[in-house]
Amino acid sequence: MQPVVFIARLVGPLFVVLGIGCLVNQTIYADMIGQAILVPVLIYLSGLMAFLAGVAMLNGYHAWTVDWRIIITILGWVLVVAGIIRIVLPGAAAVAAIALYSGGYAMAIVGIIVLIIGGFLSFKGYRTAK
Amino acid sequence: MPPAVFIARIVGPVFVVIGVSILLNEPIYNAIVIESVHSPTLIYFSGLLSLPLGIAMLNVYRAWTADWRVIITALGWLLTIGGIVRIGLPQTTAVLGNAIFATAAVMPIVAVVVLILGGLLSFEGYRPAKGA
Repeated sequence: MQPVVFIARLVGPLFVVLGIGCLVNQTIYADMIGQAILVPVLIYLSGLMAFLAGVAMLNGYHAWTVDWRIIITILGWVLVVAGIIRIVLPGAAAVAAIALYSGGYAMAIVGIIVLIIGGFLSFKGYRTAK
Repeated sequence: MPPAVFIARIVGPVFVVIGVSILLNEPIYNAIVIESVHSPTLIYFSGLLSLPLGIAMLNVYRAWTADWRVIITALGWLLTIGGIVRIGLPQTTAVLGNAIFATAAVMPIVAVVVLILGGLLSFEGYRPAKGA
């Protein structure tokens, strides 16, 4: 199995569950963000998880090809950069989270985007190879 | 090295450490459970850790064989389902966590089960291969 397909098989279902979780529990998730930004340890832990996942993904695949696999590369870099910001600048991460999720529909939009990306990656990861 | 053996080499020692740690620090672990069920963020984080781990395990090994390797498959599914429930239904998880750990005897039972599983997986993972 190609590393990029293996990554899609992991990230795809995870994103589907995250997207559905986000859409079904919008109030709880909003509370969660409100709680997380007040606890530097949680910002730090989420940064540590994001950074490790991003570095692992980029080590498995980091080509800028013009097909679906570019999503893996972009996600890897987004996780690395987000992880660095959360670890190095936890204050800035808290301010950014407040700004991002202050809109009424922000949670629903994030949920839908994550769900679509997750569904697409799951399809690419688990479909039978040609 | 077969994937099931590699997973056993990682999960086995982790479970041994967790099992021993629960037995040695039972009051602290009780406090951790109580704190966790009151924090949706911590439930979410634990789901975020267990779901990818479960999916990764099932992607490399998921056969229902009648030997020790079935533990790997069962753990993979438990982690996956546990992750889905925690991320998708955090409130249900909190209620379940409260109900399961309300009885004082549950924590030592969990510790012993985790310790035995960890010991078995460590043994199967690290024993010299036959003919080696």
